Amino acid sequence: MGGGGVPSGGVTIVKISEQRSLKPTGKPNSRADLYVNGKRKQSRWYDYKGKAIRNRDYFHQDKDHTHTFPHDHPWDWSKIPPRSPNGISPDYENYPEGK
Amino acid sequence: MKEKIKSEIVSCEICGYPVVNYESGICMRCEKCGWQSGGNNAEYEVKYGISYPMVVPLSRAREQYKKGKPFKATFEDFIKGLDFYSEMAFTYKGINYGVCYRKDYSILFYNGNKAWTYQTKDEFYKTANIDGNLLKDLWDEVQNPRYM
Repeated sequence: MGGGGVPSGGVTIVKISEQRSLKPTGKPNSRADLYVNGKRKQSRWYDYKGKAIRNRDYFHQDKDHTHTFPHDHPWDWSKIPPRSPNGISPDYENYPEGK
Repeated sequence: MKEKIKSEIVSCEICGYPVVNYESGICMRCEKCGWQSGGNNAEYEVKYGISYPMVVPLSRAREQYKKGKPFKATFEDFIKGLDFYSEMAFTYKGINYGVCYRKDYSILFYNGNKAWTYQTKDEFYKTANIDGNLLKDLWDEVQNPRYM
């Protein structure tokens, strides 16, 4: 799933009511969805090596209103920072939200 | 497409207590010492100088645990976390603050009412302040430095 697509490795859904984080590595070709108090907070896609390749943030701290939600952050582990600072428009075609 | 995610019992990186590690999803958390881990934090420390999601690198976290101190990242660790994740947060006197890289790699520092921009990471490190008090000087009072 290096270029995105439906995660052939499945979708992990995590429902919590506290501050916890999704792993930066996971099952290859999969996606994890984090729900906090019933509201989707973040999705993370993993590539064929199981390394994070994309985040989709649905909400987080943004009191200065510089963020648009949802937004995506690509990961490139060859770069510093691996998680791109550039929040970009969601790529729903290559990283769909459905199961 | 939903399927059962594999899990295994591993030893906590800090205290050795058994912890359930899921192949995907949430970071594991030790019920004994409270340490959380999202992967190989020894490797993250070597490569990035951080741990995930606790920020404080593993070797120093072990020292903190041995001394009975809570796990806490230094301001320098926090900056390294910013270099890893590009968006960070902390709490000071009950107010949440955010720090993030912008597209041009300047740094935005903000709370619920105000925002400040620093042209470089070094400038942020040396001059970021809250009500005139340098962030690096009041770091001991900062709570829960974390990835956003």
